[in-house]
Amino acid sequence: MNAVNPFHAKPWPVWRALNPSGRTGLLLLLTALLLCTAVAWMLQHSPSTMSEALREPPGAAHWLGTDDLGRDVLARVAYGGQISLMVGAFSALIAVSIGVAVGAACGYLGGAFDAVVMRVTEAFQIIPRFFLALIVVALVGSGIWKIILVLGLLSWPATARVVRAQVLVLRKEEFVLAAIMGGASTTRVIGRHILPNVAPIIAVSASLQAGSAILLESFISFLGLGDVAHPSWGLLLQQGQLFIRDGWWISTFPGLALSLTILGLNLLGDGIRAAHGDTTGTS
Amino acid sequence: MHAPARLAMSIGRRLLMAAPVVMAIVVLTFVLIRLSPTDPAVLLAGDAPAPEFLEKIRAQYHLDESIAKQLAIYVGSALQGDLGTSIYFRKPVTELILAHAPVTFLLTLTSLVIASAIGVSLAVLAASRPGTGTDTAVTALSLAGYSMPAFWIGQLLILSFAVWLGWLPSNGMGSARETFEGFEWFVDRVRHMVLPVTSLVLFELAIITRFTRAAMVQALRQDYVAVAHAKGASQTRVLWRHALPNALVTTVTVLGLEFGFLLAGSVVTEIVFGWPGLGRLFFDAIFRRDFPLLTGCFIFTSVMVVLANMVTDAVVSVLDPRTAR
Amino acid sequence: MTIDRRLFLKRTGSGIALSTVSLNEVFAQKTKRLIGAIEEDPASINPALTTVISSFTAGCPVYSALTWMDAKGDVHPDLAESWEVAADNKSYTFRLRQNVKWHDGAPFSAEDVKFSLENITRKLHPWGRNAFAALSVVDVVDPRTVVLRFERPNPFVLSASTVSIAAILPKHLWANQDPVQNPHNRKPVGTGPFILVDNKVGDRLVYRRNPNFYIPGQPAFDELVLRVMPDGAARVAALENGEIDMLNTFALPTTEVRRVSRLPNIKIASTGQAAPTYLCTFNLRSPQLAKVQVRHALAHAIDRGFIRNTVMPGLADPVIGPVPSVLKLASKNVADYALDVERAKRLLDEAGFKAVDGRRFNLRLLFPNSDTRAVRMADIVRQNLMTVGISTDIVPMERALLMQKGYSDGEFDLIIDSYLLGPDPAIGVERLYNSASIFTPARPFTNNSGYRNAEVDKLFEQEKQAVDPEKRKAVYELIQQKIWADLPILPLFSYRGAEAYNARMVSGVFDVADGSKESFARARPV
Repeated sequence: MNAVNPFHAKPWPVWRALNPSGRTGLLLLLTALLLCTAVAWMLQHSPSTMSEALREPPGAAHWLGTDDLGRDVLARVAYGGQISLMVGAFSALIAVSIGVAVGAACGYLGGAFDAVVMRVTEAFQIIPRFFLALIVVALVGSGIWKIILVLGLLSWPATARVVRAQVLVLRKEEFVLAAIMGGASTTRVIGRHILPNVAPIIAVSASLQAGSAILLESFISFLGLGDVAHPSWGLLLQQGQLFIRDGWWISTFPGLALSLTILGLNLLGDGIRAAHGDTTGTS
Repeated sequence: MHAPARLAMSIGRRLLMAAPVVMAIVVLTFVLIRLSPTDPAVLLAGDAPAPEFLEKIRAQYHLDESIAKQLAIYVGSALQGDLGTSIYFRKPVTELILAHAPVTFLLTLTSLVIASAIGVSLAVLAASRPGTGTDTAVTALSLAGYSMPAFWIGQLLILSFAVWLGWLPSNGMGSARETFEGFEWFVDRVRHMVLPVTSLVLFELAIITRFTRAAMVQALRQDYVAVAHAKGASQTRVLWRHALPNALVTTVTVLGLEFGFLLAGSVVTEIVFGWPGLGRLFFDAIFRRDFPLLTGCFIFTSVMVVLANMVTDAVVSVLDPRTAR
Repeated sequence: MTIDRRLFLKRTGSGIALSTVSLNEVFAQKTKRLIGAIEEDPASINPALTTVISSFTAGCPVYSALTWMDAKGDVHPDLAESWEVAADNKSYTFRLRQNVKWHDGAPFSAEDVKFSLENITRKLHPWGRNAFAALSVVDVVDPRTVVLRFERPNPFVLSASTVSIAAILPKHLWANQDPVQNPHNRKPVGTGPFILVDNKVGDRLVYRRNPNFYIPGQPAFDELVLRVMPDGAARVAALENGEIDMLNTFALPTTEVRRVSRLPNIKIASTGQAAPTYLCTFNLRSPQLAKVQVRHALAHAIDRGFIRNTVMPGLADPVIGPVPSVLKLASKNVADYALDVERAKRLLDEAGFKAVDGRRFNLRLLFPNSDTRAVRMADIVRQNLMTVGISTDIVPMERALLMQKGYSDGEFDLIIDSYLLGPDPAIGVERLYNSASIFTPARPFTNNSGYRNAEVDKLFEQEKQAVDPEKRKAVYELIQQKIWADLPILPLFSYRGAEAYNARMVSGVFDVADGSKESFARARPV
């Protein structure tokens, strides 16, 4: 693949660049964002107001029905989405920040630094992050930020590997060599020439990381370790499971929202990857 | 370099790396447990326990000692194969883990094999028609299994097939009602495996299909494929004999790296279906502050991940001796 | 070679042609096996030493006690054939059954009763230490007769002699041994209707019928299996599917009770002699809650009716006063704190906590995170308190952490938790209000609010000396009035346990005071 500053060759028409499945992913993600922000503002019912209308099926007053304490399901799904998306966004942010820093440094500097840090990366990758997250949350207490931190701090290796691979390739490209010979400092070379070309890979990684963080958080909630004060979709799903027989709407809508959002993030990630030609990224 | 030598080196390297990682995990677990100011003795005794009773339990499990001392005692025994005694079960941790591990292995490996078979086939199908409806459909389908949380899929399956249709059992590994022998026992076991394995397969399918497909697409662009075509090889042969082995390198590597993630799915499935595996053991150990069992399970899980990576290394070197590392 | 298709299906048990339910029933009739569920692997199977629920569920088929109590609260003979109560309520004479054998073949005798009550029940059992505190000695008159002598009148000995407090252990296996380390905690030897033969961790507990059980014709089942099933929804699904026959109170999720009761084969039994009650304990050491007006305000603000109707619909009863109405000593003359938000606000103002920008102060509410009902109650309480300007931090905690930080360290303002207030208020209620029950360090499920009222303490002493039941009732009447006025604890509701069983498979189950303490001696296949 010829990488003569491909990023500059395709500026903004992201939509046009994506294949159909990538577009679907983007649409799903945007819908989720819309639901959780704009709709949340416009809603009639608050997510925590209890009422006497217990377990009402979807209808005129409550579009998605009410749960076993009379709370509006649509409102809870909207606010729950804020929590879930926050988990995805911040975990991805942490993971990608660390991953890019480590990966770019390794790929660019090479040599002994690369060798040592990559071993450390592999070591981190071995630690089963889900189990560690469970232990941390169970022992130190539940809390949405603890979950975000643990997931983010343990997910960076995947990003680091992918970024490193790309940087390794780019480092040998002509425009980079030209910049180096032209006397540009390391930071300038990395910041100005390499990273912009790695941006698509970073976007892919961020998208996928967000998806898996949201998914793992739902597992944690399922096991009863979710943050009750900040109910995410995963927690709503877990709480609603008890009523699946005579209140299917209580768990189904959060579950659908959760699944479609994770699906969207994954499709988007794959779409961006396909659009920029690279397929798997070496691992 | 010859493949066996390279393989030996990479296995050796993994082992060397595993030791400090496992050590770090043990220390980390001890620190975390110390950070949490709770007392497993209290949990064991029920409500309003007699103080003497609590003292006895604490003394027996060195719960009053300093963390450094507890760590030293632990590492010393662990190196001899003794992972301590579970506070809750009063049985050796090693015994408990070894009793539950086969269940998890059965579930994980069976689903992995089935998911691989289906996933690889779907991936080949999609890769042979890139960008078409088939391709999109395969991708979407496999991703759907991944996006729906594994526990939700499991619960929906139980609802549909066990409760509403009554075709399959809803829970457990084997029937409690009847004691089967021989072939009937086997069939009963299989019936109890259908739903949990299906849940896990749907979950694992995404990873396998996605990575294999992408690797296939890339492999199909390589020169040697064009050469094979030029030599007159059929599309099928090209797909399965030339492109796939190279693509599988990626898949197998990813499976090794993401093994922890697969185990997460396995844990959740075990809990939904009530299988007495490591997942349940681990999860209960957390809540009961059963430190020896908790640490033991965590170590065991990490060791499994390391082993999985070693296995994938071996498989990769067999699949493609030309892979430069 | 042709295979008879129906035979093939039947033999492989595929059940596609036959419904799974009827297939299970066909098998059950051949093997006479009763199948239940237990929520977790029991750590120890010894109801004489701990009060953990799983220990009871697993241990009650194995052990017996002097008496047992049915769902109405009537006491029946178990290991004791008959008894006499002295007029001053200070000594109880029990005549024991003859020819009772332990599961290992050794003969049962009065020495076992003396050993168990004096060394185990009175010293180590969490409730026994309370109920039998006044037990001075157990005299063995002859191998069949024991006399329990108490330092002061003790009117509730018969209801306290059941397996939930005073299970009898074999002296020859427990004397001179450390009770904590004794391997018979996990390999129990008792006198009960079933013998534990297998304990597959994470899978099931298997019991076989005791051929030497002292009541002829019991038990009617050859085998009892308790499947370990941690997931509530899974337990209900298994009951519907016919894979298990019954679920006790703790195994049956309350949200499913109504729906399950409408299923064709399922019957619901209701028990509640132990008077399980959800209490909201106030920490009187917290500056706001130290003021009685604030406590009254909370009582007026928290919508207990809504809580009853949403958290345990159909099973919850209101509790007015410290003693729940199911117990005989409950007062009928105590006035409730009506739901009155305006009144609550006025009381808070009077107490000196005026609202600034709609906010008065903040409270910390702890509760066990595994208790789904407590989770809901916490949500509702938070909502209710917000309407009067009190913000609440809801803090779910694991049981172990709650015991430590909540109860022992006293770091809370409110705790919502479930208590057993029966079978007699002297056992279940007094420990919460008597200043003698304030320990340092604090112990869970005692007087954790820190309530001290010298008058009430004196009344409790009087009550213990009262022999005449009328006198006792009068004293308790006063106690309830005073405590209710001070309100250190706000009872949210008491509930009846609901057990479910498949009436096509079994009858004679759950006619006991507490469904988790069923021995299945009287269970019969249908």
